[in-house]
Amino acid sequence: MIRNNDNISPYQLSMILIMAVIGVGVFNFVQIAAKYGGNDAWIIMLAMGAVHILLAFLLIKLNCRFPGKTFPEYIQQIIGVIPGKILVFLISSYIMLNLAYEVREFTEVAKMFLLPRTPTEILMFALILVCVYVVRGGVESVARLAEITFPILFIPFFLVLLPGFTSLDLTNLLPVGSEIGTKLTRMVPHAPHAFRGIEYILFYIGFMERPQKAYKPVAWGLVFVTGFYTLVSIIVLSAFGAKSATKSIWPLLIYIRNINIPGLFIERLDGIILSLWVVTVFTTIITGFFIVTYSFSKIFNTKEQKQFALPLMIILYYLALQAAGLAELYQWGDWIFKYVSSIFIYVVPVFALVIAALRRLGVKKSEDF
Amino acid sequence: MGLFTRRKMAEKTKDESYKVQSTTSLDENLEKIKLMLTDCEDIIYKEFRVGVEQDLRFTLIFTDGLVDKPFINDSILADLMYHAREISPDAPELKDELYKLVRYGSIPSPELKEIRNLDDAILAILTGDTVMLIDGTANIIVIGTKGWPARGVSEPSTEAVIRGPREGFTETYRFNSALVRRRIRDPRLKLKQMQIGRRSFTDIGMMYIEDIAKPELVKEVKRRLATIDIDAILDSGYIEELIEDNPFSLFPQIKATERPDKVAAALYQGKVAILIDNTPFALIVPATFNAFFHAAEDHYIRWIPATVLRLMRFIAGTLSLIMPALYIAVTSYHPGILPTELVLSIAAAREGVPFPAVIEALILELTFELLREAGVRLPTLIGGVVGIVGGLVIGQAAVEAGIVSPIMVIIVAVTAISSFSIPDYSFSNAFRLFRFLLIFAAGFLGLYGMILGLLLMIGHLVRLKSFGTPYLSPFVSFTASDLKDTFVRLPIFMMKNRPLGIAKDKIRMVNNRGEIKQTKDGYNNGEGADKNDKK
Amino acid sequence: MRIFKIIVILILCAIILTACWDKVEIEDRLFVLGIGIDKAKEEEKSQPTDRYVINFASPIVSALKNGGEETFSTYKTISSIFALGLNQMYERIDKKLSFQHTRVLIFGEDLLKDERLFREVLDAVGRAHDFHRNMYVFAVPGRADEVFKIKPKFTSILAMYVSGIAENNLYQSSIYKMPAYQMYDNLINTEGDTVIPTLRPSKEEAKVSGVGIIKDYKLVGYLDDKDSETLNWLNNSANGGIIAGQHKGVEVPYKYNDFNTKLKLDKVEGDKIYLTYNMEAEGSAEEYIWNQSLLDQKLLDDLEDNLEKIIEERSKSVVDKFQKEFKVDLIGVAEYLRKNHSEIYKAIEKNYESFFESNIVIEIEAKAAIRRVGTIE
Repeated sequence: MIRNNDNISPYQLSMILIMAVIGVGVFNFVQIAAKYGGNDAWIIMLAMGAVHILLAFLLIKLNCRFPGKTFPEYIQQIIGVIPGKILVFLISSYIMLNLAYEVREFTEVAKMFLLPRTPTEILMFALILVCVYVVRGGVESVARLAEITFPILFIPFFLVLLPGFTSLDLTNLLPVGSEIGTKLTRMVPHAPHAFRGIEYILFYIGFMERPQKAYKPVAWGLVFVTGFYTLVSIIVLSAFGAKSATKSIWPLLIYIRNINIPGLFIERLDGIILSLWVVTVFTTIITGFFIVTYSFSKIFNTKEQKQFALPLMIILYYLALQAAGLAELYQWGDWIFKYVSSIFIYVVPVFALVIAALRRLGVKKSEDF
Repeated sequence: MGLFTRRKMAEKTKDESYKVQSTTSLDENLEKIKLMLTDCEDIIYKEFRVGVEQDLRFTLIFTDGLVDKPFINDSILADLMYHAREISPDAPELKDELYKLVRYGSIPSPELKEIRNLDDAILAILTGDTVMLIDGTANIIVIGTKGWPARGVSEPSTEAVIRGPREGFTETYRFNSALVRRRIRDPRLKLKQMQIGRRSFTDIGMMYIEDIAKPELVKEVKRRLATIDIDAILDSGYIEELIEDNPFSLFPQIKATERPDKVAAALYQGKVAILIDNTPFALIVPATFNAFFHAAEDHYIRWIPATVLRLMRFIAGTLSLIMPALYIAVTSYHPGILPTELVLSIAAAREGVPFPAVIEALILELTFELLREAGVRLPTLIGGVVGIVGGLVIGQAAVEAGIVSPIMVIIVAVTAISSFSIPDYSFSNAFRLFRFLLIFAAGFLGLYGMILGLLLMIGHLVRLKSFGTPYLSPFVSFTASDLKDTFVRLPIFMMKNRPLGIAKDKIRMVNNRGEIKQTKDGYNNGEGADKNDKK
Repeated sequence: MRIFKIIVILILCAIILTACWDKVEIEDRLFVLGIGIDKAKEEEKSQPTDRYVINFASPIVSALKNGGEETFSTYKTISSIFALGLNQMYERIDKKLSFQHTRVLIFGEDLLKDERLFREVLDAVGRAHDFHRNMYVFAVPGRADEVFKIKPKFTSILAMYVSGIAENNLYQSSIYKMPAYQMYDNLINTEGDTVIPTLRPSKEEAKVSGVGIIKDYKLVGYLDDKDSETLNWLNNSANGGIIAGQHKGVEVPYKYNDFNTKLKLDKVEGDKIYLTYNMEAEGSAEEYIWNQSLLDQKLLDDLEDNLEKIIEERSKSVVDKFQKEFKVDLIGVAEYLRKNHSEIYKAIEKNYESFFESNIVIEIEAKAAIRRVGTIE
């Protein structure tokens, strides 16, 4: 039997990155961006994208010191076995929270627009169960899934956005760049809200044959993500203006609802988009959930990650049910993304890199760049 | 327990020492063979004596009906019985050299081999060869005399083309290998033969082009075939189920085809073909999702129509999968998606229908599946009648009786037509079954359920592999150049490489289109015309 | 593990077989295509807390199929809260209300004059997930339930008839088209000011003419249909229509199919801001007097001058109405300043209303081009 070689290609890496970062948050994120960034939210998105590309390079640098190893493996080398395991556990708990938030947010949106009477539990359970099935297939399945869902998701998405372009009023973006400084400082704490998920590459690069090849795909992936966010911000802002964009909780969705295509089979597109959006939630969960199961397999030193999928799924399900309602969920989300995410996205990897450098662990210089 | 006995049996059949060795005595050998073939009354034993003194004893054993009798008469019996007499009787060495003389001299047959055990002899007899026992030697001569009534090469009925070769495989293994060999005159085309089936001893041939197919793939196929231990192989389906990666999947991971040109094309791509005796279907591994949407004709007609047809096929495939589910999801859950006028006319059409849309869809889909099944089993002439009765009469009557709505009939009909556009039968079966799953999912959770159902399918496809190749390649494990032969079919001169995921030797052609220079009159004065002529 | 799998499958089967929480078959839905909302009059109230009178129009599906007499039906419900009024309907019908195809939202005059009620309704419709944001909004001078008594002559469904009229604004710019999302945008951006086209019902038909002016969530007045056309010009939303020009005592209809307006800041002098609307119309004149040539540049130039004068005068009068009479900026000045001259806007933002009334000087410059004169010379 030809064994799974458990490798992912550079292209798959960038797909994983894109699908992990772009989640259900897009619906809501534009509102936050418009709230803090006003009509310059799109410029701020661009700037933050550029910063995050640089940050991602740091993460890759860390990985390059330990080729062929994933974060849970080398962190035990860097800060010792037990502290390493504890850190890995913390990170996976954080990712679990993150995923629970994602699942809950999506089910709330879906409940609002698609299935108002179906119990939340059923909506979640059905989604999570399908996720477990894929995660049990291992890293190759996750990578291939990200790869195949990318065109399935984005081609129809852009096609849906197109008919609304005629009604856009780009003058709503004016004036460009006034008080950009204060807007930027107000926006920075909320950056993880948009870019959470880039820390996943710490785990996934370990599955690449040559981590040195990760720079380009990661950069392209983030360029796509940034471009996507920028485009969405521009569309929403120019359709509504900053003021009314902040009024609705899911401005992108409202924009899509306003698109009217007379004389076609489809009149309203929000149902279509929401059901397409199941796909991105799905991939976001899968890419994160695989990391969690994989981390657990490293914590308990088991060979496979499969057996953790089901029990962890039940925990995820339980976590997702905790928030009382949308208001509480968003409150928690704000807190998690402002403080907890920042630690795990920015602080931990940078510290790990510094400690590794100080202790002279791993390969120092990568031979080819 | 089961595992243990199975291994023992396997060892028994393979181990040489278990086989009955022949002896120098003809009587003894003959007795043993007769014992083993007791009550096999289609076996013919022809004993005869040769020589002036008629003291050289021979016995021919063959199966009636499987052999070419005129050939036995003319080339074996005649030669030995008549011509032998013309040899000088007192040649002293004759008796000693009798075996060699017969083996190398007196039988004008192209296929001759010698064996030394009776098990092989019996297998040869049952295969259609003739076994010759000679008194005084333990060597047994097997003469190739296979000749049984066989269906001739005819047009494959399941994969008809408008343009392209009309040859199809037949039930005879040897014809089939020849049909492929005719398309690949390359010494590197290898044909590994084996016999599988402890009782049936079915001939299995594994074909591949040595420097194109990846060695790992060839090894893997060989390994999987070698693990088969079963009493009989009756059709390619047996082999398929026994060697595919995930037999529990709805999707076929091995492609079966009746067309030698398809097999040859697959071999040129670096795939491995498995030919099986007694069936006109050859197997091609690895098979991918993409390959099941390709018809043989795609490469024979011009590339623009081919591309359009292919796109249509993919769209039709998708439609056949999701159409009823989508209809249910939209009408029962999200009528807001449709334009108001359409919603009102659907609602008007459904007025008075007693069932929910899911049940309505299931009723009609099941009816359609029944019709389809009935149509396949019945003779062609009656099959058409069933179509008319089923499609027209039942559809019309059901609508008039108010059991189903006319729009549902349209939906199911379009689904049915779309499902026929998938070229591969077993693959379209997978879509058929998934369609029902999606209908349930959509009836349960609307669009959300339908998308989850589709994601489940994608998740399954993503996990699936066929002989080490991801099932969804080249859409996953992405190589841009492989996408030239997927939804689209680019001109042949643009597809310069073999599929990178499968082939070892990547370069397929050099694009020389540029050399077809157009002069004013359209001719090039024959420059370079003798390039392909033999020097 | 196997037992676990079987249990999961069994549970799933049970769920799938028993529950379809949201399934409502399409023929069991009552598609509400038009909603009219009024303030309840004292004599209508069944309970003293009742505040709204809500009217629906929805098609009778079976009649559409079999051709019955009545193709749509109307319902009326009275309640204290908007959503409650909708839900009370379930006591009277055997179908499920569906607002996903609502095309028309009609407000009565009384409601628009009551800020509190109007804001409540706005919020209810804005928050609800199933309303189509593309539905057209109308105001009725009088009561909205008048509209629901119309039996339209041409279109079998009332709401389609009304929304169809709104879409005619491509040919007749006096019809002001206001989709709900645009109204909400206006209300958010200007904090309570918008225009709502008025719908005037009569026995057999309705007429969209003029607009109602909403200032701080309250109806303060109306413009007639001529002025609503002018408002379309000023807001650069005119798509086509006819202006009656004069040439030597002959009325000449000028049919424009393109009307572009650009706002420009001229200068800031002291505490006054000078703005100019540049209007450019393009179209044809296809009616004069039989046997007299229209294809004459001199004549056309005169006609164009006349048309320009008419456009300028009409625009000026509407601008004056907004500045002096209604004291509300619905002609896009604030928006223009905010976007293009944010520093100026910031300075005057605080008491913009009084500033708009007295310190903004608006000029109109119009250009009308007659490109074609029909098939006769």
